[in-house]
Amino acid sequence: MTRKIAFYGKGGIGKSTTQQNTAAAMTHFYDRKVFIHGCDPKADATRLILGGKPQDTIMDMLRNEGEDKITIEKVVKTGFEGIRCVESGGPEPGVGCAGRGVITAINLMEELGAYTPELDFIFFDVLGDVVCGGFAMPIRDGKAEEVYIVASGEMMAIYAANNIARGLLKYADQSGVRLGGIICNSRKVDKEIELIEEFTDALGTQMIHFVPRDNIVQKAEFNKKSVVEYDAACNQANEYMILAQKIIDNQNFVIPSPLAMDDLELMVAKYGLMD
Amino acid sequence: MPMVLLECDKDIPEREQHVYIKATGEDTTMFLPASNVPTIPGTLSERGCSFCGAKLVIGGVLKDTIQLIHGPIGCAYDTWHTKRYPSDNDNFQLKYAWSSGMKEQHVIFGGEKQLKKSIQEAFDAMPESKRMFIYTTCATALIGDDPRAVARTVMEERPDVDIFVVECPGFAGVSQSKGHHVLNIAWMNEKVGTKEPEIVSPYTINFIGDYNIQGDTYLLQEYWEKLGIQVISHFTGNATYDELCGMHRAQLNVVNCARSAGYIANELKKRYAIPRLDIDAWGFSYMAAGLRKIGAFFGIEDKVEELIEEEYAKHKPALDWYKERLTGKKMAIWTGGPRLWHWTRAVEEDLGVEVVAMSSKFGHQEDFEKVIARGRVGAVYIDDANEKEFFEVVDMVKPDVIFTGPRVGELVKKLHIPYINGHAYHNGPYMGFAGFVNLARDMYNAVKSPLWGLAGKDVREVA
Repeated sequence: MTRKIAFYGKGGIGKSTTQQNTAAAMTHFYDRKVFIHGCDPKADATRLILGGKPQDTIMDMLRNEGEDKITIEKVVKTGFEGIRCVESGGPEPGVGCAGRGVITAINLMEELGAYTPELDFIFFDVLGDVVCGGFAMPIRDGKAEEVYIVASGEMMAIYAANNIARGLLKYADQSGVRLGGIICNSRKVDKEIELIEEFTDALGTQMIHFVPRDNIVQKAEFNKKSVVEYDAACNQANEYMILAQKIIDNQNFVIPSPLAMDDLELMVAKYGLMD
Repeated sequence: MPMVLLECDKDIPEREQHVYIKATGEDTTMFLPASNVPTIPGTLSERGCSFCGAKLVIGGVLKDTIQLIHGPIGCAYDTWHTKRYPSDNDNFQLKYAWSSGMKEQHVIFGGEKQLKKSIQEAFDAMPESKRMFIYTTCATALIGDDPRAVARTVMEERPDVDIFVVECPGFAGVSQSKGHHVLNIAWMNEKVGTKEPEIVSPYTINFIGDYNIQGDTYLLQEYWEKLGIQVISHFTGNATYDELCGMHRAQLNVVNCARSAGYIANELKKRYAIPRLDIDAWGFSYMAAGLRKIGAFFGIEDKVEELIEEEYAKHKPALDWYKERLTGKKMAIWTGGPRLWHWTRAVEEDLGVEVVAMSSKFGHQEDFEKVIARGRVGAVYIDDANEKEFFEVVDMVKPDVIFTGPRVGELVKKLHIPYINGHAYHNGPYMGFAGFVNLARDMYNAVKSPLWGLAGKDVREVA
């Protein structure tokens, strides 16, 4: 049974980095078969797995060769330890409809049978926020069943996470999508764990893992590698191994109860005013 | 009787606000159907979209203008060739429509390049055509394409062309009415006053809200010529793009369709102090009254009386022949809006026909005020009627003939009730004196046709 997971979170929070490191850990430490579908028009959700290889995105193919010419072989690339990757891609900034691109790309992959049954996990890596119907596509009917939101103790990251939870709530009934937890990608702000835990309590979910900040992540990125590939023995690789294990074992799936704006402001202010 | 909840509407009781049956002693201050408001979910509306209101009704009538619809192909097809407005240049506007043919990838990557390519192709394929209307549609408006910017770059590259952009996607308003409004105001803001017409008569008018349906404009043009009146712009029957740029030079705006084009008449009054005179161009009494008002405005009453006398002599006997045979017949008018108030009393006075039910797709409050004031007691007045309501009303009022569009017309045909195309006519023109005789003839032929009786018969019984 393939588990379909969507990763959301504020832009720049480390969502794609966390997602790829988790995928690498699942493959390397637990021998799971993972497929990554990058849904960000920037097409940067698979470079650590593919070693920075420039990807022909589904949208590039659609634009240059037309829908009929798209095949799995042309757009799905295999990277680190057999992880299969595809990028939706999208229009140049400021024109067209990237949301429609996400819908088209996912439909095409389904039609072409890219999501094969022997997969253990499909990861949808979605851009920052659920800004429109297109970017909600991965959590609509028959797509991702579980969602992990990457956040930190920074105010705007919490706001974005709450907003994503609102989008999730909207689709929970019709699609059955559930929130699996918040991944805290630490920014080393004061009382980060406490804030995230109060926030996850309010949402009715869990902080599934606290990923500490470590420069080795950046170092691995410069080398176009996941931490697991760059140095599987380091402490940070261990953290991603624990996160991967927790996701594999996770039983805690909820329909979130997002906070009203006033309540969210109060909660964030409480921690922000501590010093 | 106040507002009426029809039997078929019991599950959508909001419809009560849109259905009215006039009773003795009541006026529109007491009861008026709600109109120009969003269609209620659950009702199968006959309305069109706002883009259609701009393209099919007004812009698409222009005889020298390339109509480029920036959207998927269906938006172009469904607003092409469904209304018969001919022109004296071999019907250029009926023969051609252009589409940017938006596909999935254009939606995703933006359609501006595709639009520019389509514009260039259209001008290249039609080198004698130098004028263009571009319309946005739902898809291209939603993704934020900027057709104005594209039009500007094309006009820089091709200094001899002029392009007007109508930004009115289908979802812009509650019905096609919004499209009329947007086009009127945009044309006023951007084009009126950019060209100077040649003035050849001391009497100049714009004739506003006549779309040359089956030659209405040609027929009325004979009157203007006999009266020595120069029509600077026909808005928009048989008109050219440039002709409409000179609307600011007329002395008088004569308005027939107040709903689709009253806006531009009002703006011309505000900005250029050109008075607005509303007339009804259908029916003998109304046409004569309208001509008399125009005659009074210019001080050419004698000429007008002469014209009316001449026309009456020519056509009144035919009208009376039909009146004798149509008197007492019952008629329903289910059209867009203004034809309800244009026609209800005209057919009654000129042909003795009783209008027993009227329905408007996109009329506003002022249209219902006019039609209820002019219409009969006991008649049913409906805003944005749906199919089931049409059938229920047919049972209630038992009309002999229905003036409506082909969609509803095909439905009532199954009840063996004749319909006459109330939008594009059967065998028009219907305006003016000769035109109203055409209407009478079409109505007579429909009502008296043996076909309707035979259609319901089982031939085995006859044999």
